[in-house]
Amino acid sequence: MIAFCGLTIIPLAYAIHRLTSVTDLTVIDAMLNFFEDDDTIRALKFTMLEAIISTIMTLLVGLPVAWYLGRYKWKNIRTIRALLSVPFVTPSIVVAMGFLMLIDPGGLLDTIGIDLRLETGHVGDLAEYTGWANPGHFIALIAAHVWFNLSLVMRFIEPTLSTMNQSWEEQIRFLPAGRTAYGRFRNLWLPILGPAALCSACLCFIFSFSSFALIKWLTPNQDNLETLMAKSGGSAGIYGYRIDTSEVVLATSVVQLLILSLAIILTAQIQKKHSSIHSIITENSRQKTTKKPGKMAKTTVYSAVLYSILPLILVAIASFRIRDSSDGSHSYSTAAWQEAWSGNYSTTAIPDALLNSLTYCIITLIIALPVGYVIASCIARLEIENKNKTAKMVEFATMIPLALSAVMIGLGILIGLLKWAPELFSWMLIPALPHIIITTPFVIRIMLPAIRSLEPEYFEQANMLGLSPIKAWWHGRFSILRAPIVVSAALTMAFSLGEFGASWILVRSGSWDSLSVLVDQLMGQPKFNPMIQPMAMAAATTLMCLTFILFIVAEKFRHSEEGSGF
Amino acid sequence: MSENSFVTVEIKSKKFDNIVVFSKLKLSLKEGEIISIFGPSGCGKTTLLRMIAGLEVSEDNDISVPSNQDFSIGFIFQTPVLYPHLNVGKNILLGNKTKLSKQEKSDVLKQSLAMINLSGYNNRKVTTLSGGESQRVALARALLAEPDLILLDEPFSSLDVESRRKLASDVKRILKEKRVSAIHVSHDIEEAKIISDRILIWEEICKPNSTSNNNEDVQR
Repeated sequence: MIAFCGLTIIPLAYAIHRLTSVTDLTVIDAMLNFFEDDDTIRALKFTMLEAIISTIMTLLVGLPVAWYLGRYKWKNIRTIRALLSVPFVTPSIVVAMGFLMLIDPGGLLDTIGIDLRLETGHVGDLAEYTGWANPGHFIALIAAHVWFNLSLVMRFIEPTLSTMNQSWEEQIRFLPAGRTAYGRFRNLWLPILGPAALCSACLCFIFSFSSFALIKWLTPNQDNLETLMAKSGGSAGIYGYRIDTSEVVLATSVVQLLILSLAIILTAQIQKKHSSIHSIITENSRQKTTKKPGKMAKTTVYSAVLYSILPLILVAIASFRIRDSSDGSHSYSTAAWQEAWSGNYSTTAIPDALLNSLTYCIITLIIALPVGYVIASCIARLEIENKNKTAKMVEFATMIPLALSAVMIGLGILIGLLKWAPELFSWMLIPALPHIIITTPFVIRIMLPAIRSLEPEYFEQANMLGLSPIKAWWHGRFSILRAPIVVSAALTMAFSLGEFGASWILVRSGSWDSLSVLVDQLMGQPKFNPMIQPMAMAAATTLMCLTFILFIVAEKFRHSEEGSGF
Repeated sequence: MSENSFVTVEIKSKKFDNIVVFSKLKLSLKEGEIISIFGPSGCGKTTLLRMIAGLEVSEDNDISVPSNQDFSIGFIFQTPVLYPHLNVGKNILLGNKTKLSKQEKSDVLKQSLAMINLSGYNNRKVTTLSGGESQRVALARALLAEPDLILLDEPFSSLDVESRRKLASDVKRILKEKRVSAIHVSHDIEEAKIISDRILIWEEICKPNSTSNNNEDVQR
């Protein structure tokens, strides 16, 4: 546990120490400078704006979907839930590619007169009349964030609704406090769904705030704090060279860390309230709804499902769609796949990048899963021993990586570790380090509720039967925890495969490209070669398929009414 | 139906998935009267109450209640429905009809809690209450709303025999004090005798389904 916290904090602390040393500024001075620099202020404003609007829009879209899904009896509910959850595990670089294809000139939206990419037509008019620079890019970004975070609203609100005792709603209608729709909202729905909605809103804000791949590709003219740090990070931390970039990275990372920490603390508080309400609801749950969905419900839910899979389908289609350079027409073939697999036009071929990605993901799994399991067991044991304060402190400490964005973790390792020991650059396992730091908190979040609910009698009985310690552990703990362990393992691998921010910082400097970095590299090349874009889409499709296989495994083992976990 | 009936109910038939649960049901109730409908478990008593309350669709059936717009119904479910995110006092105040000052709310609560013999329970979490205490709180809340008719759906079924008898007696006393009409359903004849002015036997007020005697399963 101490080693994990050290692994997380030491590179970052050393990176900050190095940056303060290079810039000759204290952390306070750096923060003050942050508010005097136009670029950083612009980035902060943009970050706050896109995160707040993304959060509001996600709730506006997600609440009706969760409402209809939770209150009616749906055929194939597990499939619908799984499809609506797909976005959350989809690698961010794949999402970026999906939305690029959606808004591409000649793409689906362009054909119905909405040109968000080149901003002609109505979008261009909007920009001209309002003076709003690049509204199309911003709208595309918000749509992508809504897409990405929709499953969070589902995961928090839908289980609360679907497991709620129907008598609660029937009873409130007989009471003066629930005779009107407003009364029912105020006295029943708000207290029950409020914490779940707030919790999902906080997480939407955090994920939108620290968004990297989507900002990089969908709003290339504007930076959020994350992209600003990433762009400046390459030359930061070097004595006597581009001190300005070190100043930007130092100031931005400190401000971002503060904002994200506050958001995480707030989320933890609200999540606690939500968990207690959700457990009360689950305990009181008796009768499942038998109401069949009407037209409005079906339209809302099936539209959301379509929205969840559409960008991904477009990525797969785009990998076969080759532009003819002479007349701009398109044809369909597997030529881009062949080129991408053979490694033409790129530094790495798909099989090599795939091998690298799988290597990182297996290393991550081998380390993050046992570390997460041991930490979760420690927290549960401290709680059993009534050392609740210590348990809470440990739990909070292990959540620190969630307050550090992927780019910050990547920069921490780059500046804090690699510039101190540059020979580590050639160690191919370095890119797995941020993956371990990022995925371990997820393992803890998944394992902890399961370990807390373990009956000690199972283990005690196994010991009483005289089984060996390993057998006792196997029968008394592992067999019962098999489902959460498989879910943790599958999601750890999925998150590692799709990780982009830290990999982009660390891998682009070396020769250990992962699949997500390969997509970015290919897409960053000039597009006069008609093969480039479909090749990027082929790499993205490969990554997407791998993630889905892992997601299906996780879904198969996830309890059908599990809600607010990951 | 007699002319001084307060509520009359006439149901031609009630079906679930094309299975007739019961048919040709007739009953009436005078103002301030408490009636018990006695019948075996699963015969459709709960469904009847839900139809009277408007929770079940009742096509081609006639449920007549006084025409004044303010006519209101209270419902006490088989398992007491108390909202766990609110304490006892706040649960009871959900039944409050008018806007009250803090002091008035406190007085109303004191009276309500005294009525159900739970004085001092104001700030208690509802999750710490016993089954009987929960049902008392649900009753106090329903009565605070001053309904014209209260529907009691086997409200004491989860209690032991002694508590059931005691609570039935208390509820009757309170309903009579408040002059509230009530329809109570039960499969316990002793409980029905204690609480009601008149007992109606299920088989005598309707034609029950002869093929199935477990309609609760059909409902679910």
